[in-house]
Amino acid sequence: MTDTTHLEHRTAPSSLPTFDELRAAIGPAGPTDAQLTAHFAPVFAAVAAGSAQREQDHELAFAALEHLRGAGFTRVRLGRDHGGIGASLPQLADLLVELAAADSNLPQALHGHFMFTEQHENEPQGAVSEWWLAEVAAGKIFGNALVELPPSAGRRPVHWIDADPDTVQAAAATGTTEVARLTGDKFYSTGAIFADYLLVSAVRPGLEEDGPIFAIIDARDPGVQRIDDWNGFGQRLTASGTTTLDHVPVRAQRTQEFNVPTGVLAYTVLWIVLAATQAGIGATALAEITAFVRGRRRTYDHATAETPAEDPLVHQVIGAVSAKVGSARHIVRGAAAVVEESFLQVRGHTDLEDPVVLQAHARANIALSEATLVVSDLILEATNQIFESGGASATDASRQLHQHWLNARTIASHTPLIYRTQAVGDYRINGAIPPFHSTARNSAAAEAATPSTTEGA
Amino acid sequence: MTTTAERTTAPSSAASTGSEPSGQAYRTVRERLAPVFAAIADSAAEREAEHIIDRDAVRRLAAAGFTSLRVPVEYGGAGLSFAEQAQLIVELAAADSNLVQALRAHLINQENVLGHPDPVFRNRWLRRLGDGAVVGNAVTEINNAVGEGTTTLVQDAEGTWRLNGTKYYSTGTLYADWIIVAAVDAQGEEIAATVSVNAPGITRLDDWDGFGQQLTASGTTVFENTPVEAEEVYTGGLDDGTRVATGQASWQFLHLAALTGIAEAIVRDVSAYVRGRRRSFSHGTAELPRDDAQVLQVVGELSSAAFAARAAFESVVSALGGVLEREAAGEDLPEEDTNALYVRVYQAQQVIAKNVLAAATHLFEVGGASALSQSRRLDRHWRNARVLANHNPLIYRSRLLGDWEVNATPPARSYRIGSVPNAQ
Repeated sequence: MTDTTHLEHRTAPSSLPTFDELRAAIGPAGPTDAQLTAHFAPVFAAVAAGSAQREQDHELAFAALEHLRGAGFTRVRLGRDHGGIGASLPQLADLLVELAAADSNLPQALHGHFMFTEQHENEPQGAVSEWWLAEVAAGKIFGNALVELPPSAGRRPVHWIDADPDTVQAAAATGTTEVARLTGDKFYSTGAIFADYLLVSAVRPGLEEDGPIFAIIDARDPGVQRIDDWNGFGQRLTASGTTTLDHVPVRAQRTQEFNVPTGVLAYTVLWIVLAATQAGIGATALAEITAFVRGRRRTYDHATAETPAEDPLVHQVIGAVSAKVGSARHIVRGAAAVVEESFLQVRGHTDLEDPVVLQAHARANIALSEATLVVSDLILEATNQIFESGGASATDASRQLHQHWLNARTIASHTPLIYRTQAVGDYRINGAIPPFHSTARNSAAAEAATPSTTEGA
Repeated sequence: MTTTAERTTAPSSAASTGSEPSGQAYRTVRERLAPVFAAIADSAAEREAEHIIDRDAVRRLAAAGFTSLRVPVEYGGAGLSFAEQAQLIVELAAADSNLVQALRAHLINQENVLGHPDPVFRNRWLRRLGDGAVVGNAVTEINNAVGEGTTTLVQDAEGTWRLNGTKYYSTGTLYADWIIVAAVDAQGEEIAATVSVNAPGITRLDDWDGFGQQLTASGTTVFENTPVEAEEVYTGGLDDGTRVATGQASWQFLHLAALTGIAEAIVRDVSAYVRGRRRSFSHGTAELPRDDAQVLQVVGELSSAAFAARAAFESVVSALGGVLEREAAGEDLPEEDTNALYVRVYQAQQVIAKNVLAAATHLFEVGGASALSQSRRLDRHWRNARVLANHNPLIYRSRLLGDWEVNATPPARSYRIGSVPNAQ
């Protein structure tokens, strides 16, 4: 377990296109697909260049992230009036696919940034939203640390302790009003190591029943330790490990609501990011297996052609993989359009039980559940099927062709698909509105029964 | 829904098709092997993580009789039937699929010896096998033309046979006492030999670098002027497809056993994982995953996939076992019987490989990010199955089946791989 907070690099992007160049080039109707593609192509190429080596060396993509920041990727969806580029959600989805094809870790690491920025932009919550959007416009990256492991795993729940009045006064004098301190441990803090700010959930001791408070803290506060201890077999460089908080200050106007229409809709943005990441993984798997087949000279006495590249059976395998990958991209883009509409529909509606909200939520939630289910299946199949076109040499670890399946499998396990399939079925049969929140929880009964075990998430 | 809190261990997987043999010899040897299998299963994830080629595991298997299950009792073996041995091979595969593949050449050789027409050869090898000798092979080459090897076995001026060449994918040689080698003679004709691993001029490397089946010890073997005893030289070569015991059906049978064992391991590992889980999804249907209808449904699908694999495997066991018995008895097998056997083996390969790969993918649907942990290595089931499935590509085998159905073309019984000479 290493504290990697100190490892952050700020490598200046060399000759890559800049955010300012893109912002200057776009017309009043917003960026075109062609503009975005042309602008980001060299950026994604630079990200892709070191990707295999990073995977091998387990090195987080700090320099690649700076390329993205410099080129405006993190503010491409932010409205032009907020200082961004104003790309549509489908356009962002397309770009996320391309980024995932270059390095599948990065879109997932940025999921919180896009989720919650969407929330603040669509339904501003006053000063906190103004500040948030201004920071995004300045190129800052928001991550989150929301998931907790049970105390039996040796982790502390994150507690919100109100600042005492003297501290508040003293801090106010320096212009930085401090309202509370946070202490506790978070796990699966995806992307936290890459972020400038972290959205963190916390409870007041004794008032757990009131639900969590969502606070935004400075990721570089000395009380924050971000540890790269995510030990999954896939998506290994998403920086998704433990975040420990020790007396981390929360400033005034740095809390937000989550249990509101845009907060509920934010999950669908997460699922767009995950589905786009899957599609990008598939695209790279297809590109790599195609190159492998093209260069392959080894064949079998009962093959149907002189080389694999000329073999109709191999053509068929690649064709089937390509169909899955291509369709996944279309699905992601189409689903993103539904989410964009839903966010527009809930504008001005603040009550979760408002029929407009329920309808928009159900539509987006079902669309994204359906999209994620199918895209997961398609890409898991595609990343398995690529191997049908080769023999033992395709399984050589140095080619890393299996990493695509490992990555796709890891993403498919993010929000368990069986429950989302069930929710879709319940909606179709009974019109049941899908649950507002999708999270893992620790069994309190089991905790109480056997407090000593260390069974994790 | 009731919590079956008393259930803490998996039900016996060997009974999944109700075909558990009941003979006394079988029960005795299984009892001896059970603790060896258990120790191998317990260390499988760690051995993979640390890349440990555990020769002791194979030594313990040999000592408990696994490598001579089919050898008659009078030679020191267990004298089991082909079907009885098949059950134990799957059990070993469920413990660690690597070791079944590592012992593939050994098990083929054992069957070859049992039905071998030459009594001198048969006696010599039955004694060796009964004494616990373990055999590996060195057959495949790379950069050769299809069907044309470059390793030579020729007599020197003194009349001593000398082996020279480099073999890749030499499965199991690092665990072995003897190596079976395919070569060409001075006339370029196929020839084969067995050499002791202690003979001079042999270098065995653990350089197989697949993403699965990492501990099969399937690396490079180099022979430099290695002397070979005249009685260990076999003109006519290996695996010409005429004897079923050494043909593709027998080789494929062992990959299918390994895949079937992986399916059972998946059900075992996932059930244990779900049983121990105390974290569930916010809208799961029960407090604990072990009581969750949908989680149980997923495990039921895995169980059914394992059954499909097992049933297809059993079908191969009975077909192949019957043919091997007739062959060993000296019967001249009619072409149609051999064709029927190969069709069944190739069909089973499609059913087993696809079911096991799907189960290895979908096992993670039971939920939980901790299932992704590298320390559990649950991904090894897919990686191992994927590598096993890639050894004899499914697409070519299903084409052979189609050609049989449509055109009555007898399915190919041999298997050769090589490089196209003039391709870029």
